[in-house]
Amino acid sequence: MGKKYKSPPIIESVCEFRLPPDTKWDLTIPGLIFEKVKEQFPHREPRVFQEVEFKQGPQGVEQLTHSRERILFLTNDRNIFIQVGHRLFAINCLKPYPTWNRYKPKIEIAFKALTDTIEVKNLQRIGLRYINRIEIPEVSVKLDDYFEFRPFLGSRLPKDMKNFIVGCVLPFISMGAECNLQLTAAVPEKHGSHAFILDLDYFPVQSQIIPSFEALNWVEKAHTHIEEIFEGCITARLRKIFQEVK
Amino acid sequence: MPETSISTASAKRSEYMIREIGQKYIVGEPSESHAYTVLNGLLPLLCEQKSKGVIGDFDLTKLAPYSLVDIDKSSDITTEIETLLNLLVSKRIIIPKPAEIRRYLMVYTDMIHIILPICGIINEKLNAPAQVSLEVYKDPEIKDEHLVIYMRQAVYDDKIMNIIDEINEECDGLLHNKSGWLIITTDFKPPQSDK
Repeated sequence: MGKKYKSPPIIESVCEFRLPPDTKWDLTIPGLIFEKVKEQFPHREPRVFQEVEFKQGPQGVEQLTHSRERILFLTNDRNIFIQVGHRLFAINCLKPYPTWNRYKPKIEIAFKALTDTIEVKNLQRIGLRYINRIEIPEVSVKLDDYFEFRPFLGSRLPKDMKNFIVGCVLPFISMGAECNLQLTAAVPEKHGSHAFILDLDYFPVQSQIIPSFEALNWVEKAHTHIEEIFEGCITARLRKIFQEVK
Repeated sequence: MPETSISTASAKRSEYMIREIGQKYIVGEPSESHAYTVLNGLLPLLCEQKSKGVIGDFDLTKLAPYSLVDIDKSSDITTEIETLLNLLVSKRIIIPKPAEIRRYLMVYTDMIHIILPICGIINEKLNAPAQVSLEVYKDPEIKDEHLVIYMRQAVYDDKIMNIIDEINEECDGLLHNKSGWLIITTDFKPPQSDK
């Protein structure tokens, strides 16, 4: 069991399932899924997402910008929602994060509704992602005091950074998975503060095929690894800001 | 294919993000159409570059090592917003209440990608120094809110309203069919402190 915080920095968590191209999919599917989840996710609304697509056409590379609609099924407090797109199924959880014990059952309900509606043998991709916005209420912040994962500047380099982005991919060979870990500077909510985005994206490597009956176990293990990585990224001083609940 | 002509820092970051996204979403064999859908935080940058007319020169061969196919949009909402806010601040656009902008864009997600191009248009049209401030306007009488970009100058140019009209006209196309709304105007106040 990971640590619990009174003010966790999570601004969004996403559990995403992508279905293989041979999965039967049509416009009635979102409605059928909604029927199965409407008690938990009673609000239904469309969202428009804009995408840029590059396409190799006869005249060379063409760039297209187009809008795609996804259907969202939201909980009463609108904090957790299911996104249903074309062969895309995601369960998002926004701030305030209600703990894994409350979020995971929502993932289970949603995934069951999906697999009860259409036949899903394997998943093309699963992803579990946690995006944290960390606000440090100090005018001057020394990253070493708060982060165990941070940019390193050698002794001959200036110590002041205006902006930064640092990332790495951590392999988890036994799971056939990787975690993309990234820390960037962000725009703080309050003046005189500093903000950072710590993004942990855990996903299977390309060759790893996840059978759908294994999906939820995979997600649980992924969550355990993400918790460990998150704790490994921060110092006791940052835990104090998050207010650990013992 | 021509080599990319983009040499700005944002283009470098785009390339970095393409590689990042590429590594994240390598899927199977390349499809016949070689369709790449490029996402996440990258989109605001691409829209900005498109508005400057440089996107056509983007070097897709850089993607080839990853056999990218059918990259779909990331399912999170917050990353694009955070990237946008970072870019706006780096362009000296002030955001007095970032929490309000974040909350608005979480609902009106298709507005995320037009803000940077609109700021680009404002920058092009303005021929005098001005402060650009992105805010959420809440109508106190009816339950309505929308984005507003205030242009503020220390000494107001006589032609400021004409310039604003021109900017609004040029931005109309970007706002077409969007779920939210954005107004570009001035309140004739002097530039505000962003502290």
